[in-house]
Parts: sequence; C-alpha cells; structure tokens
Amino acid sequence: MVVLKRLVISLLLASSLASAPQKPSSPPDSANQSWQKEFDDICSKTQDAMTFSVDELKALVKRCDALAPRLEKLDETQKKVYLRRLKQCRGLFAYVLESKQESQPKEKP
Amino acid sequence: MCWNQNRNHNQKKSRSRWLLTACLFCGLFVSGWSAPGGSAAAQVPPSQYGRVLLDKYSAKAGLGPVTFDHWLHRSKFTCRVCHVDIGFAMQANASGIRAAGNQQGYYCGACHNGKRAFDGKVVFPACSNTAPTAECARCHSAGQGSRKYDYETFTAKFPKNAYGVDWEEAEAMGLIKPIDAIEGVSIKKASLKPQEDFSIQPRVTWVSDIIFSHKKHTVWNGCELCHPEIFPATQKGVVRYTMFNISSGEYCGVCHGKVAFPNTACSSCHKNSQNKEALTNVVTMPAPARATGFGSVKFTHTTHVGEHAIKCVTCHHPPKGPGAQSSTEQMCSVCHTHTPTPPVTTNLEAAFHNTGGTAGVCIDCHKSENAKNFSNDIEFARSLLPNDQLMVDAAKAQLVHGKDPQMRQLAQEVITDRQSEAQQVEQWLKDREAATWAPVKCRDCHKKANNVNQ
Repeated sequence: MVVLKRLVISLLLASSLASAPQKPSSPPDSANQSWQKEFDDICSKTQDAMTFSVDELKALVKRCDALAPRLEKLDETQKKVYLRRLKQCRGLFAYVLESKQESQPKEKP
Repeated sequence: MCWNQNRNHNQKKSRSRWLLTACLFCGLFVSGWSAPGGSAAAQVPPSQYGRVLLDKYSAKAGLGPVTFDHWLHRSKFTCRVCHVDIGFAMQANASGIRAAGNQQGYYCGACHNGKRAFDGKVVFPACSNTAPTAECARCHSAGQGSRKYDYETFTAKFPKNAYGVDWEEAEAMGLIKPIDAIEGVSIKKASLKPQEDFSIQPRVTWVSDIIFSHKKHTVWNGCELCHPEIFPATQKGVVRYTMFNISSGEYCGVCHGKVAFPNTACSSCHKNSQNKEALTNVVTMPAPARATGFGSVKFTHTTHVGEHAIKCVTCHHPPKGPGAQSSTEQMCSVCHTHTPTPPVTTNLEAAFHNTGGTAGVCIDCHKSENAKNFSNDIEFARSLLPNDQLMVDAAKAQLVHGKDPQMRQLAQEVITDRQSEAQQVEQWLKDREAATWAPVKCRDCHKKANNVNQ
C-alpha cells in the first residue's frame, strides 16, 4: 500500500515537472537556420537588383526591415556582421528602387 | 551667419582658385625637377601603401597594433569578399574586430581559422585564448616585425606603374586571380551582368572625360559595396564629385588615395582618347589683379606635362593627405625663380626677374597680349616723359631759388631741351596711337615697395 502511494506521488510529481514551463536555453538550430535562410535568400538577390520591378524591390526592402529585428537578437559580433551586410543589401534595393521611381514618367495630376 | 560663412568661404575659394590658376599656369614653365616641397617625398612606398594599423583593442590586450597589408589580401580576394561578405568596414578601426569574434569565425577569423586553405596552404588561426605568443606577432606586429610576405619579392613579377602594382593589369595577365566567394561565408549568387563603362565630363576643359570602369568596379566590388554607401546619388549629374571631395576621402577617395591607386594618377581616370589632346590645350590665365597692365599668361600643358614630364600633382596639390601643401595650386614663382640645374635648361627659370632685372621679364610669360602691342620703342619713349618732366621741374626750381649763374644757365638749357624733347616724344607717341596705351610698368609690380601711397 505504501509502495503504491509513493508510486502515485512520484508519477504526479513527474507529470507536474514535465508540464512546467522551461527556461529558454540556446536557440534551437531551426530558429538560427530560419533567419540565416531568409538573410541568404534576400541578399543573394543583390546581383539582380537592376532587373527587379518597383514592386519586387519594395517587397525586398520590406523583407529586410522585417529581418533586422531578428538579427538584433544575435550575439554581439554576429549581430554586427549580419546587420551591416543586411544594411548593404537593403541599401542597394532602396537605391535601385529610388532610381527606378525617379526615371519613371510622372503621372499628370 | 551662415550666409557670411558661405560668402567668406566663397571668397577664400575664389582667392584660392586664382592662386591656383596663377600658380599653375605661370609656375610650371620650367622643368623636370620637382617643385620644392612637392609631394613626391611625402608619398609612402608601395610596400606600405594601403597598410592599415588596427589598434582599437590590441593595446588593452597587451599586444601591438595589427598591421594589415592591404596589397597582400587584395592580390588574393576581391574587395567584395572582405567588405561585403565578411563585413569589414571601409575605414580602418571601424569594424571593431575583437579576438572573440575572430575565434567565432568572423572578420579575420573567417579565413584565419587554422582550417581554411588557399593556394594549397592552410591559413594560420587569427587569435587564441592562450597567453600571447610569438605567433601573435604575425599580425600584432605594430608595423615593426618581419613579415612573411615581402612586398618586393611577392610582387616581383607583377606589372608596375608609378604608384606600385598595376593590379588590373596583373589580373589581366593572369598573375593574380582574386577569389570572389568563400565557402560558408559568401552567399551563392547568380553571376553579375557585366556593367557598361561610362564617361563623366569634368568641369574644367583642360582634362579629358573620366572613363569610369564600371565593369571592373562591379566585378571586384559588386553593387552593394558602392551603392548607396559611397555613391548615394541615383541620377547621373546630380552630385558634383570634386577633386577636393575625393582627396578628402569621399566618393572615389574612399579607396583611391588609401588603398587603390592614388588621385595623383590623373591619367588612370582621365584616360580617353582625347586626353593627350586635352593636355595640349593652351590654358589662358587671367592677368594678375595686382598688375592689370600685364597681359594674360598662356599656360601650355604640352610644355609642362609633355616636354618636361612634370606630374599633375606638382601643381595640383591634394587638399589633404600625402602631398598636401598650404595651397591647392602651385605658385608660378615656386619654380620660376630658380636657376635651372641640368637637365633643365629653359631660359624661363627667372620668369619673375631677378633683382638686377637681367633675367626673366614680364613679357616672357605675359606674351599673349603684350606680344601684339609691345614695342621697345614705345616703352622707351614713354619712359622718357616722366624723366623729362622731373628734370624740367627741377630746372624751374633752380631758376627761382638758384644763385650760381652757371647753374642757372644750365637749368634754362634743360628746360628748353627737355620741353622740346617731351613735345617730340608726345607727338611721336600720338602718331602711333600709343599715347594712351598702358603697357607693363615697373610700378605695377613695385607698388608696395616704391609707391606706398598708390
């Protein structure tokens, strides 16, 4: 009987521990891969920046802006390196976008 | 306040432009020699050109500054790999490189990790957690330690120009093959469509258009290294890129003058087919304000740059950095007041004439206008008139105040002779319509010394 009681208690304890929220440890690989994948995908397009339409360029700038806060969470050096790289990519897309918008004929009011 | 500042600035600018022009156009008539105080001596040797000393954190760690030889790395990698993919800033010490970052595989550690190999050689690791060892001195050499790669040996077979290795030519010859992507660091990209070179028209007429090698720059830099960080303008012609900007480290000057060929290599940019023609153009300098009687000076680039092989930088001084001087343009007098030393033989060494007036006279340079009007007969005739008047005045005074009969008689003769002579000269000048012509007069130059009140 005593043994049974102890068994029930330990089972209850184990289940309560299992359901308790855990402290976040190091980011899982999938999260790391997620920003890296997005970063690579965005910045791999700089070579083709001139061929994109205005809408495509706007979308790329938006993606850069969305990615930046995620990079802010990286550790110091990684953050510095990737934010600079992202800034260069975003800068180029915005630059080409501005260039295209300026060269487009303005609509008459 | 702002307006005043601008006005003062413009006045200074204007003065400096005049000085520049004056110097440029007058000053170079001479020679193969470098101007005193010229920039050649101030230039760093090619082995140290582009060398970067990184000392943001080294000293705190008890290490010497890192000496980074740009020439060695640029021979092996494109600019883009380091300044885009790895993320090095374009200014020294701006990246904030730390040993920990290197150990994590960033910055120097992207390649210097003891594993990555180039040309069949494993690259030594950048930093470690151990106490400083002799190995640290490979980078933390403070510019003093011996380098594994000696510039002279390494570049012995590379084509050279006056400024060091001609990297473009070296690549064209297949002597270097800069790597454009590093596994695990660079993002796989489609190859960049070759860009077309284009010309940029300078504001001055005496240099040719700049042929910008957009193709070469994009191959080495990609797009995002230059745009928009270095060149933010989206439309051609919106921003005026001055040599002052460039020499101050802006625009092209971010690289050129620091790690790429210097701004003094004028023909590297101004190199289209019209260049030679442009340099043969005669440039007319306005007459100096202090001597309006002078004609303008015609400055010939052919003589200075062509025949005497004077470098552009001898006259056009960079406003900052190596070769900078107190003014951005060379004064004519800096060169033209010296006795020539062989092989210079030009007789214009004393264009600003010596104290005896035996060498170098105004007309030697200011001949464009004076040549058509100048006549020694007229100059002689005109020089007699004030002397005649002076003598007549003195003689009249003698007649009023003098007592010696012999001197009084001489005074009378002077008055008669000089007045007659003056009338003759005036008539002679009038006949030649030269009475009102104002050629160069001594006092045009000597106002300060001899005509204080003028």
